[in-house]
Amino acid sequence: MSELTNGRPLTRQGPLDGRVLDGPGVCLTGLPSAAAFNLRADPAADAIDAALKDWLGAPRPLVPNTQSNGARGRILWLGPDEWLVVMPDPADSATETNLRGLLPEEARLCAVGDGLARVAVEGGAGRWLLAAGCPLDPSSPALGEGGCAQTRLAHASVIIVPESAERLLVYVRRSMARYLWTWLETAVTRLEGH
Amino acid sequence: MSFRTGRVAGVPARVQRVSFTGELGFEISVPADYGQSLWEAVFETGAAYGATPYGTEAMHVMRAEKGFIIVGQDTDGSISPIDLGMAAMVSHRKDCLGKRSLARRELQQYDRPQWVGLRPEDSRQVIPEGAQIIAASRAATSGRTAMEGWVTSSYHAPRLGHAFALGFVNGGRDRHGERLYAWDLEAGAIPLTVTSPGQYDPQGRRQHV
Repeated sequence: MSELTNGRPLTRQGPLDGRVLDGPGVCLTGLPSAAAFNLRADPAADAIDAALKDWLGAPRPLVPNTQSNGARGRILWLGPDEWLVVMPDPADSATETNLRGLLPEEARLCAVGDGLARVAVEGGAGRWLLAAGCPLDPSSPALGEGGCAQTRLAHASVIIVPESAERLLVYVRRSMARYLWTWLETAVTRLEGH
Repeated sequence: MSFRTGRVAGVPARVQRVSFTGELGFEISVPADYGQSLWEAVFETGAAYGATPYGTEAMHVMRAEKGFIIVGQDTDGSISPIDLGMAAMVSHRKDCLGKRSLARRELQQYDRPQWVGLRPEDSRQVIPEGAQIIAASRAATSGRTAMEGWVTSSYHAPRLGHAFALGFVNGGRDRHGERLYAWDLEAGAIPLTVTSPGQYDPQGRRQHV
């Protein structure tokens, strides 16, 4: 592959790889990095939605704090002209090339997958756990089905993506990932009672 | 100064040919997940060449030996590209923010503070950063003298083999070789010689290979 590595490929290492934490009614998993693209574009540009629908299976969500879910990934609403396109697997350059090729030129795309760590929060107590450090009420629509919350968790900026009633995904900046995990470890010990 | 995108050790990468130390240097950017693995591969391969990591303090000293500025440490809002000897980097044909200010007479004055090197006569005496530059030793002028400039960066410079400082001296580009003094409350008057700011490999031969 290269002289630099004597033929060995470089290996990926995310900040939370392999971390698992079980608590009462909740299980946390540090997930490996996944493909994620920040997309800036005119919300009225229909050609972008047509392309995304073909490729990902979903158009952009236009309602604030919502997501759209397609067969190959999700699109999260981040702002009136800003979205996060996320896929479950790590980005390879083919993914990025494909996506760039599909979208009209006015769509601005920036690969941010390695910059975002992900924590899967599973179990009925998951929303209560997050409520311990998040200003949003566990019953907020942004944390319900089809929602997408940009908020703060233990003072860290996060995006919380409900994937089902029992599973949420928390996106946090890579540099804050280990801090947040440490906070979650403590918060889990205080969950008794929910 | 150029960059290319492509692959390093099989992963997508951006490689810049850029140096803040005076040595031929490259910066490699890869997706963050590959950072640790790339670091290990570089030092494994580099061991045969004596490769070693270096920290920001070493980098700061090396850039000073080259006369490179740190914006915010060596400069503030009062320093112009002309003062720094970088006027050639401002296009004559294109407009830019600040160009009108740069054209004003006051910023064109020959005796503006100009970016210089400062070599203490005692090779071991590191001048305190922030020291004022004066034309004569304070003792010789009964305590009153005009300020000729100031010190912005100062270190012991291992590649030069002596203490070395950077700073600004009024009309300093025409004063290389002149003897001045840095004044510090504790150290007193420190005799020094004004030099050009770039003292290490001034022809840039180590980089231009």
